[in-house]
Amino acid sequence: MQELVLIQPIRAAEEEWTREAAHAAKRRDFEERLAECGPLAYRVARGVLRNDADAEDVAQEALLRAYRRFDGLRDAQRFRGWLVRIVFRLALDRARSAKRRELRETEWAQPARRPAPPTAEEFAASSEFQAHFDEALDALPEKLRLVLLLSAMEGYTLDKVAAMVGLPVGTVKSRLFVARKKLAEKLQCYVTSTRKR
Amino acid sequence: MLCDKYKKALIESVARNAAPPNALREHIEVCAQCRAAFASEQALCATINSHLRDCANAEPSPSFLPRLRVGIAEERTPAPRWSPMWAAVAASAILSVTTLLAWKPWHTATARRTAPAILASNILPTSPEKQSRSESLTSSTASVTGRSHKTRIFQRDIRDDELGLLVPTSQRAIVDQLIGHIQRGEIDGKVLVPSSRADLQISTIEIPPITTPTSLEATSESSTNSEILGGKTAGH
Repeated sequence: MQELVLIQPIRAAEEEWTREAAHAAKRRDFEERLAECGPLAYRVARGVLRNDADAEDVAQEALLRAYRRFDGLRDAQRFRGWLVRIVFRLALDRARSAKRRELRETEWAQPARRPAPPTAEEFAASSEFQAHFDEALDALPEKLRLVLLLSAMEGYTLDKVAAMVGLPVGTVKSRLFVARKKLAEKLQCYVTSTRKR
Repeated sequence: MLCDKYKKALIESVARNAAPPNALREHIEVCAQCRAAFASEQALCATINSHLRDCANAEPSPSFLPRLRVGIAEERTPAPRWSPMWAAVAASAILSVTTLLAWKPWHTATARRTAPAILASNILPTSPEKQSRSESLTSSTASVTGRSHKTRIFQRDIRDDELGLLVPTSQRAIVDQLIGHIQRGEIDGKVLVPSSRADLQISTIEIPPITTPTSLEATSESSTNSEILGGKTAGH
């Protein structure tokens, strides 16, 4: 009985120490991944939001969330996919709330938001196309949009994208095809209408 | 019509980013309209891809990673742990709040039962002098209970229509008349307010011994008997 009383605190301290060491190792592991995953998070957020400041905010928030929950991640190999999903969700939320805010503001300040007349035809055409492109991209279903964005990133092959999203390569390919087709169809209308003008 | 059939295949081929199938390629070579459409589709897809690449490969500002590391370093500061002491403190806080919530309605009900003591202060007209008088009464009541703020809350809780509940039904008409007189100024309301504690004390009442009906009957019976006896003797 006396032996048990003496041994138990030592065991508890050892377990605590082991836990702390594992914790510290995971933290180091996370910090080592930052150099690669920081820009990845930023790009995903930027792809959805298309605004540098917002994208940095969202990426930072997502990385901090990931850091807090990093201990709960069982398979460290899936970290990238996990992080991408967190960033994508947060960015979508931010984009939705920004859209709602914009709608509210336009209701009150309709005349001030009229676009300025184009100074150069070329510039006007380009910015107009960008606006239509953004609109078409936002209209894509979420699962298609994520695949399209990831596959457009430099250094990410279809295999990597499939591993990141946790889908078979065939599914990624078909999603990519559908996404491109939808984009082309939407933007084709715009191109033909500008040609007619 | 033929071109419409190929148009879909043409878009799909461009979207797939692959070489067109043989049948489509042969048609494009022959049909100038479809060739132009194919070229246009390819140009459009190239523009889309370039926009996508621009969108997906933007570089964060140089301050992004340092800021992120700072944020993570701030996160690393250990959060207060859930020690047994904190658990005990939280449990006692919850218990005290629950007790307080359970006690308040009970206390209000008790206060309502003691309402007649301050009924007079509610009835009195509100002249400044009387106001101060009623306040002094309230404070004296409060000093007895030892909870001045509770007494004030209690006074606010009583509604005018609830005052009738404090008067027995047989006496409500008289009390109403009295209140009417006081409000019209015919009777000085001060009479209802005790000037000292001695006024509230009831002096002992001396009750004289009650003559029971049995003793009365006994005396009347004895008198009639004597009368009868007297009559009989007189007759004899």
